Parts: sequence; structure tokens; C-alpha cells
Amino acid sequence: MSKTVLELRNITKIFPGVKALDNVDFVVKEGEIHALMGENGAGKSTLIKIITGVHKQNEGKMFVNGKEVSFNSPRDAFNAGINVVHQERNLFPTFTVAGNIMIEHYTDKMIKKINQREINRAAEKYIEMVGLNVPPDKSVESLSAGQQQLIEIAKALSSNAKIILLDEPTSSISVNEAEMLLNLIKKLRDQGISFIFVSHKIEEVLGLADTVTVLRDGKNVRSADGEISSPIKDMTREELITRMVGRTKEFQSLEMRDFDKSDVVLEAKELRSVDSPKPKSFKLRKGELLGWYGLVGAGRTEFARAIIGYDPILGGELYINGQKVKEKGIDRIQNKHKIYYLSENRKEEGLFLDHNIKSNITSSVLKKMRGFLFFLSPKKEQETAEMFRKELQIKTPSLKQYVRNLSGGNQQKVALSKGLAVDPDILIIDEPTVGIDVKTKAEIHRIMYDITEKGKSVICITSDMPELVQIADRIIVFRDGRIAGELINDKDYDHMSKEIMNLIMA
Amino acid sequence: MKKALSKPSGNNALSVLRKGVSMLIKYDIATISIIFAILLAIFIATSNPMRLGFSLTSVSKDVAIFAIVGMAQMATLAVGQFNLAVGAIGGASAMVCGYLINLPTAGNMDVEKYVQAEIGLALPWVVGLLAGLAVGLLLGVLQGWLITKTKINPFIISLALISVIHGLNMGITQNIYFRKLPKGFTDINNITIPKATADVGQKTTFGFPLVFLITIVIMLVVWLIYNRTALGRKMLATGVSKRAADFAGIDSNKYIICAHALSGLLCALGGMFTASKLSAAQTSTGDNWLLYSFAAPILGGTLLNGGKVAIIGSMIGAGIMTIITTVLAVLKLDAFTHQIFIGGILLLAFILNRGRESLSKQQDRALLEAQESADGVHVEG
Amino acid sequence: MKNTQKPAAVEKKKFTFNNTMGILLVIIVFSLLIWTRSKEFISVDNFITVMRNCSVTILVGFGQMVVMAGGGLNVSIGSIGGLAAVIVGAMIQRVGLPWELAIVIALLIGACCGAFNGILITSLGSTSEISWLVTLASMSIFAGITLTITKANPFYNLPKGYTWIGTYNIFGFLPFMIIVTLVVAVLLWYMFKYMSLGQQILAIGANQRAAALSGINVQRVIIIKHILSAVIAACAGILFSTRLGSIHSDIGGDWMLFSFAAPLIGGSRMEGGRVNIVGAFLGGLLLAMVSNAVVHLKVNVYIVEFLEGVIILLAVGLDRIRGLREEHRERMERARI
Repeated sequence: MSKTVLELRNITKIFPGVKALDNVDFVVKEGEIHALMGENGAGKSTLIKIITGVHKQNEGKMFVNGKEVSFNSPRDAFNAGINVVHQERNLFPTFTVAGNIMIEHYTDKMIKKINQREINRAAEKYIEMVGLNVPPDKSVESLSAGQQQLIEIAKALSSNAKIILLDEPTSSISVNEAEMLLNLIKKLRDQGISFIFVSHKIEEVLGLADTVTVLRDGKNVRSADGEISSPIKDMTREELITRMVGRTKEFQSLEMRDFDKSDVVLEAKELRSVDSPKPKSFKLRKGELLGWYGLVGAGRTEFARAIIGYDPILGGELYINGQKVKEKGIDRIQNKHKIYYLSENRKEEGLFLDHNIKSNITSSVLKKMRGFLFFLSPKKEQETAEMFRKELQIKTPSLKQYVRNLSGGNQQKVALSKGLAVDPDILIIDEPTVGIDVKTKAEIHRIMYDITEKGKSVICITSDMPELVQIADRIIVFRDGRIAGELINDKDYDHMSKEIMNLIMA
Repeated sequence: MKKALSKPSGNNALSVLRKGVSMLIKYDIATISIIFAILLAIFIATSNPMRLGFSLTSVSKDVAIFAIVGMAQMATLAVGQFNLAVGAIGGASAMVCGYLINLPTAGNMDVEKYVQAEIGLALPWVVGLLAGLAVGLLLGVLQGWLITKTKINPFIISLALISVIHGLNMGITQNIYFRKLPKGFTDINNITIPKATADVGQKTTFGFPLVFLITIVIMLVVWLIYNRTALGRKMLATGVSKRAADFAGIDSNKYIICAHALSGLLCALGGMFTASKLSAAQTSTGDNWLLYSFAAPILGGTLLNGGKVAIIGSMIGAGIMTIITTVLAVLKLDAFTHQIFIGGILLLAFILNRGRESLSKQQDRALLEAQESADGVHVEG
Repeated sequence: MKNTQKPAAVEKKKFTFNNTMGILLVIIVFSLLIWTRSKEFISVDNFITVMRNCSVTILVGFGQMVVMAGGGLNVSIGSIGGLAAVIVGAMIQRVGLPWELAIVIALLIGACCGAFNGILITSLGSTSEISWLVTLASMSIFAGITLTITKANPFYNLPKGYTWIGTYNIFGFLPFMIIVTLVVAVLLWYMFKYMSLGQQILAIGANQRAAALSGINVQRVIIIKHILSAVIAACAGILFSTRLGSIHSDIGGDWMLFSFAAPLIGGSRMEGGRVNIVGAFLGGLLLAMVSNAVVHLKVNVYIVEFLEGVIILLAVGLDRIRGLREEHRERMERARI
């Protein structure tokens, strides 16, 4: 039995209003490639943050090589031999390759003399280990994303990391570089290094990992035998996905509605943009709740952003209510075509955290808030905000509360109010219920349904399968930046989840 | 599954004290108003009662200018930026205005010498005023445009513009000053309501200088803009988060330019008020504005990273700065020690500001947690 | 495992026109242009004058460059320079110390000013906005202290040894002043290239978060870099006064702008992470030459200030265009994946 290098037991982590991890166990062995999987909001990133010392657990213990540890900062995790290669690069762009790899070694003392040649030579060893083919004195800025990632791995190796965490390692690199990377990981694993990697790419996980642990709703998903992790050789694609998305029959589905004869309110023809380069086409009908499903990274958000005008369109055409969209810029398209997008990144893009609830809700409809002359009417603002507070049941002692202080669920409701205040014909909601408690989730579903009953159309981008099947009338499945298929939702969970998975896996 | 969060239990007296202190720090306006009132009291108490009226009148004239300059900086702070060229823009506007309204004297037009300018168009002072405002507006728009279009570090652009604008100003005017300004213009500074007396040997009386009253009006206008217009609201939104503004359908670049335009406008006003006060338009106008332009808003509670403006606070902040400067003079401290005090006050104001921010964040978090424990924490997906 | 073949656009040879070569070219072209209008521009006497002028300008630029390298800024450079000069004057004339000792004391006081800045900035959060505000305030404080010491009376009659520094020309044509600057340049070059401290400063400028995660004591390094900056500023102030022959409180009053100009023109990044010492040197030289040319050509002397601003915008603008092209290329590459 090989040695256990990392062990987490009974880990619980609570944030205000949300229990991100509930009694989670996680065990990694020496010389193992261990995949950590789960959908958006499952708790993966929280677990990673605890392992890497960014957060501290509320309950539970952590052991490295059998010894109990307690991390108060990322530095502590680092000193314990745990290294992270994040999705976003953490390099010094103006430094050389060798400079980045060996940074720890020459910045420990102030007056230390730096011998460039020695650093370059020492770095070469690690450059070679990761299979990179660049000179050590090359500037990191000019390298590709994949190469930069390899440098971060080389950096981890140079500090004798025994456990390397990779967060979505192949999400922004080319196919060839991804292959190189995966081979490298296997090679290093054979040398005794353990890898924990988080990835949404099922094929990648099946091809690379030795073991997999799945989280859902902040808890471990156990195998039939009750194990928290399973060897990959015992896993199939189906089993893996089932563990990730679950199989529940415990909710009320909404009635099926027929939209065949309805008007087309939005039509995209071979639309593409810089961030959504593969051409895609689809139609949206009046009163419809269209679900966009896909695993994280499938390209749905990028496509939505092309539609609303955040990213300039490179090719193809977009028609809203029969009119071709020629305008550029979110503000113009939003005003002219009555389409609103609610970002998945609530905190940075969806809300003005340092403004109060009232200001947030009215921020997109200030034109309608005018009273005397062109001045804003506080009364109208109050009325509008109050209306939404009641309708969406926003829980707050006062509308003057800063949005920053609200819980995730209430924040989302404010964001939703903001979008609804515009009275759009088309509403695109990106990940509406991530990080939100069950009760509020149901409320938001009801709200979305009600909107469509009033004749508006909603596109709901979600990675939550049960949510999708519960509310969507029709489902478009995305895979690898393309539309893999379209399905009419018959609200039968077993049936739909199978169909959707087929499209995802095909 | 409910998890009860334990409420902090504390010794009653200590928690009351803590609450009191934090309330004091939190309610910005209240705190600085108290400070201002205390300083004013000290000023009145230590003044020669005969000269008191005159002193107060003179102080309010200075407060007016500091307040305008402070609001000019506040306008750019609102969108999360700095306007380093406040002085340069103010000086340029003053000179343009001065040139237009200056009375030319016949005779030798030797502009090589550093002499009182003998040139000028002698236009009505309203024209000069409008022209000055236009210059300020245009320069502000230029700055905003450069920042949003070129995406060069805004600090560098603002810094370089100081040189460009000031250099142009000096170069074109050759550092002459316009001294024959029309009475209507200088009246802005001189008229007081009710009429103050300043005769030597008699008890001086106080009167609100016109420039001060105009500044109050401007302050109200600015308050209206930020609190009651879409323009102001959108500028503040852009200041909180440019990206969130973009997604909310707010053209953030346009509003950044608006902020700079407003700033330029106020700088121009400040420059012309100064010219009115000195009865001369000089290129040195604005040379010492930079520090004061930050001190007033920060004392007032404006945040450095944008999204919030404290208009009344800035005015009170300007008041505090002016009184301290005047008190220092009265106490017969070196004019030089002023510099040390002003710098120290800016630092203190900034430190207080930061303290306020982190304290209020703590408080709000506690409030939220208390609310959450009342509702019950839910298991989430 | 070879990398895949790069698309043709990337294969094209990169435009090697970097800042250093660019400025050198501009300097040469500029010199020739001015020489055609005014023959004395290229002469031994003028060379001496320009060398003397630029020695201070470049030093001031170095002082700012050190702080910029770490992602911050220091607008109190001028007042630290003025304070140092005034302290020398006071030590010599009021306390009666030998000028060598006076210089040492002035440098030490400069270091204290730097420590003051650094400690305040790091305790308030270490961002560039905070640097701006703190050093804006300290600029005023130091200026006030300077004025209080001099009470607006300059110090005259400085000892011969002191003024020798500012007036002596080695071999008759190379001012000693520029040697001082060159020494500082070499020391800085050594520090940034061969010392851990220099690399740490640059790392913080390149990516502060990554630097902290890499074990660098960010606070300590920031304080040290401000101390360094202040000492260099003090040097500049003292150097300037050795030439003048008198010390007055105005020294350093207008340094704020060109402290940024030389490094920015020279290619140092405002956000930090990269310095170009030769570039800053040449940038300072160019600025000094422009001021000098203006005198020779008998044009409006105020045009220098205007030009300074324009040159900064051009230099940084060109840099930005280069950066934009890179960004564009990257985005297009990603779109093809």
C-alpha cells in the first residue's frame, strides 16, 4: 500500500449564509495523479483553497505525510511541500524563464550576490524536466500560455514540491501543449510526485488520472462501496458524470410548454467573436425559457458576451426581433434591442458592491427614474426598489444597505432586480444560482418562470443539471465551444440527463 | 442543517465604548463638523476682537477657493482617478480669462520683460469668465479622452499634461500678469453680503463674500449632480467598478471623460476666483493646488478608489484647512511651518479615512453575520 | 518534443527598435539638427555645461526609478533633495562642521525621510495610490522643514572643497559631477542585475502577489527601496548645490515632473518590474540637451516644459503601441486554438 502524502478529514467550511464544505474527506497517495471533480459550486475550489492555505477550515483536520498541519497562509502550505499552479498565471512577466523558476532561491537574502549564469544553469535542469525547449534567459512575456504553465510547474519542481495542485491546467493552452503537459505529469508521477488536478474535461481525467474524488453540494460523493475516491480503471464516463450531477427525483417539474408556433425573438447565424471563435447558430422564441448546458469551459459565457455586445462580433449575424444587430457596445445594444445579461461573476460584474441596494436596482433604468425636470426622483427609486424587494423577497433591514453586506442569495436577487428593472424582452442569466441556498434557489427559479409567462424570453446558462431539467423548456448543449445539440425538455430527469450526457460525451 | 453562530459576548461598558468610538469614526460628517466647530471656536477666541470680522471675511474667501479646488479633484476621484493637472488647468483658464478682459494700456508693448501686461482685449468680464470655463472644460475633456482612448497609465498622462499645459501657458503668455481687470470681475471677490467693514481703528464686521456664496451654490449644484442626476450616478457607478458599469449598460469611458470635464470646469472656476481675489491673472495660479486638492476631499470622506463622494465633507475639509492655515499665521508661526502642518494633516486625514473604511467593513460584516444567524444558515449546492 | 510551428505572423522578425537605441538615435539626430542652427551646440564648453546639467537630472531620475521599479512612486524627491542641501549648508555654517561630515549627515537624514515614507506606505497598504498620497504629504512636510531651517535665507560662501565638486573638470573637459552620477548608475546597475535586493524590488513591481507568495518580505523591501530613493535624491540635491555655490530652499522645487520623465523615456515601466538604467541616463541627457538647445536657439525658454510633457507622452505612447500589438497577437492566437 503506498504512502499517504495528504489527508483531509471531516473538513467543514462555512461562509456567511453558505456551507461550502460539509464533512469532506480527501486522501492523496504518493506518486498518484488524483483528480478532483465536481460542478460549479460543488466545493472544489474551497477545498483547494484550504489545502493551499488560503482559507482555514472551520472543522476538521489536515495531515501531510502523516503529521497534522495547520496552515495560516499560502506560505505555510508551500513550506509543507504543497505547490499550486493556478488557472491564471502567477509569474513575473518582466523576468526571464530562469528568473521565474529559481525565484525562491535567490530572493531569500538581501545582499546575496546573483550569478546569472549559475541561475540559468540550475534552471536548465528544471526546464528540461518539464520538456520545455526555450533558453533560460528568454523573457517570459513572449512565451505562450502553455509554456508559461510549464514554467510554473518547473518552479514547483525547483522547490522540491511533493504535491502539486493543478487548477484547470489545459483550459487555456493549445492541444499540442496539453499533450506535452499530460505526458510530463505522468513522468513526474512515476518519479514519486503526487498531483491533484481539477478539471472539467472528462476525457482528460479518464486518460490521465489514477484516482478520482467527486464532490457535489459540498459533500463527498461515495462509490457503491462507500469509498470517497475510486481508481480510474473502475470508472466509466457515465459513472463519473452521474456522480458529478446526481440523480434526483425530489423536485417539482414545471409544465411542458410548446413554442413551435411562437415568434423567433433572437436568432444567431454562424456567430463568432474573438473569445467565441467557433461559429454557432440557434434560435430563441418568445416566452421561452431556454437552457444552455455545458460543462465549465464549454464556451457559453463567451457566446453570450458576443450576443450582448461585450465582445465585438467577428463573423456571422445576429437578429433580435427581426432586426439585424449592427450596434457595438453593451449600452447601445441593451437600449435598442432590450436584451440584458446577468453576469456569472456577480461580485465584479453583476453588482456595485459599494453602493446600496436602491442604487443597484435602478442603475440601468435611470432614465425612467426621472421626476422633476431631468432630476432623479428619490420617490420613484424607492418605489421601484421596494417593488422588487417585495416581488423577489429580498431580505434586508433596509434598502440603503450596501450590497456588499448581503448574502449571496440576496445579492443575486438584487442583480436580478437590476436586470428586470430594464423590462427586457430577452434576459440572459449566467449561472443564476451558484453559491445560493436551496430556498432562494427555488425562489429564483419561480421568478424566471414567471418572467416567461409574461411573454419575455430567458436564456439560462447553467451547469446545474437538476435545475436545468426542472425549468427549461428547451435545452442547448455546448461542448468545446460548439453547440453539440438541441433538445426539447420533457421534464423527465432520467431521460433528459441521459440525452444531455450523450451530447456531452459524444 | 442549522448551524448557530455564536454572538460575541462582551462586557457592557466596553462594548458601549467601542460602539461610541466606532460611531464617531463612522459618521464622517459629524466628526469633521465637530472638528471644524472646535477650530472655529479657537480661531474666534484667539483673534483680536477688533479685527475678527475682517479675519472671518478673509477666511471665507480662501475657503471658497479651496473648496472649489477640492471639488475639482473630488470629481475625478469619483470615477477612481486622479487629476494631477488641477493647477495647470486653473492657471491656463485664469490667463485666458485675464487676457480677454484685461485693459490694455497704450504705449510700449514690451512683452519680453516680466512686467504688468499692457495688452488685453478688454472684453466684458462675463465673456472672459465663459471663455475661462470653456478652456477648463476642454482641457478636462482632453485629459479624459487621452486616458480612455490611449489606455496609457492615467497617472503618466495626467503628469505629462501638467507640463504640457503649464508649459504652453508660460510659453504663450511669457509669464506676464494681467493686472487691469475690470471691476465687475474683482467684485466677485470684494462684494460681501452684508457689507463688511474693514476700517482700521474701528471694529470690523463680517459679511459673506460673494465668492463664498457662489461656492455654496456650486456646491449645491454638484450635490444635485451626484445625488439627483443620472450623470452623477453613472459616474459613481463607474468609480465603484468599471466592469460592472459596462455590463449594466453604462458607457464607462464616456463618464470618465465627463468626470474629467467637470473637474476641468471646476479648476477653471478656481483659477478665475483666484484672479479675482488677487486682482491679477498670473501664471503661478494653481502652483500649490495639488496637495490642497486632495486634502479637502479626503478630509471630507471621499474614497480614493472611487464610487463615493463627500461634497459637504469636502467643503468642511476646505474649511478646516483654511482655518488651520490662518490660525498658524495668527500664532505667528513661520509661513514655512504651514507646509509641515498641511502635509501632516493630509496624512492624518488619509490614515483616518483608511481606519474608517476598515472599521465600517468590520461592522457591516458583523451585522450581516448576526442577521444570518437569525435566519439560519442553509446547506447550499 | 519540439514546439509546433508558429504561424507566420510570429515568425516575422521582431522590431528591434527598443528604447535605448531609439533615444540614442534621437540624441544624435537632435544634436546634428541643432548644430546646423547654432555651431556652439557641439563644443567642449557646451559639452561641459550639458554634462553638469544632466548629471543632476539623471540622478533625480534614478531616485524615482528605484521606487518605480517596485511599483510605487515618490513625489517627495524634490523636497528631500532640497532638505539635504539645506542640511549641508546648516551643518557647515551654523554648526561649523567640515563639509565632508555635513554631507554624510545630510545623506543620513535623507535616509530617514525615505524610511518615513516607506514605513507609512507599507502600513497603509503599499499600493501606488497610497504611495502617491503619502509622498505628496511628505513632500510638503520635508519642504516645510527645509524652509524652517533656512528661513528663506540662502547659505553663501561655501567651502572650496565643496564647490570643487561642482566645478572641477577632469582632464579639462569631463565634469566631476557626471562622474558621481556615473558611479551611482553603475551601483544601481549592479544592484538590479546582480543583487538579490534589486531582483526582489523588480519582482514586487512585476507581480506583488506572486512576490509575496514567493517568500519575499514585501514590506521590508519597499521600505528599503524608499530609503535608497531618498538617499539618491539627497545626493542629487547636494550635487546640485556644489555647482551653484550657494544653497537655497528652492532646490528641488521643480523636480517632481522630470523625476518621472527620464526613467519613463528610458523605458522603465511605470507599474514596475523593469528598469532601463542606460535608457534613464540617456533620457536625462536628452532632456538636458533640449533645455540647452533652447538657450542656444534663443527660443521661448518655456517651451522646454511643454516639450518634456510631449516627449513623455510620445515615449510612453510608442511603448504602449508595441504592447497593444503583442496583446492583439495573443488574442488572435487564442482564438485559433
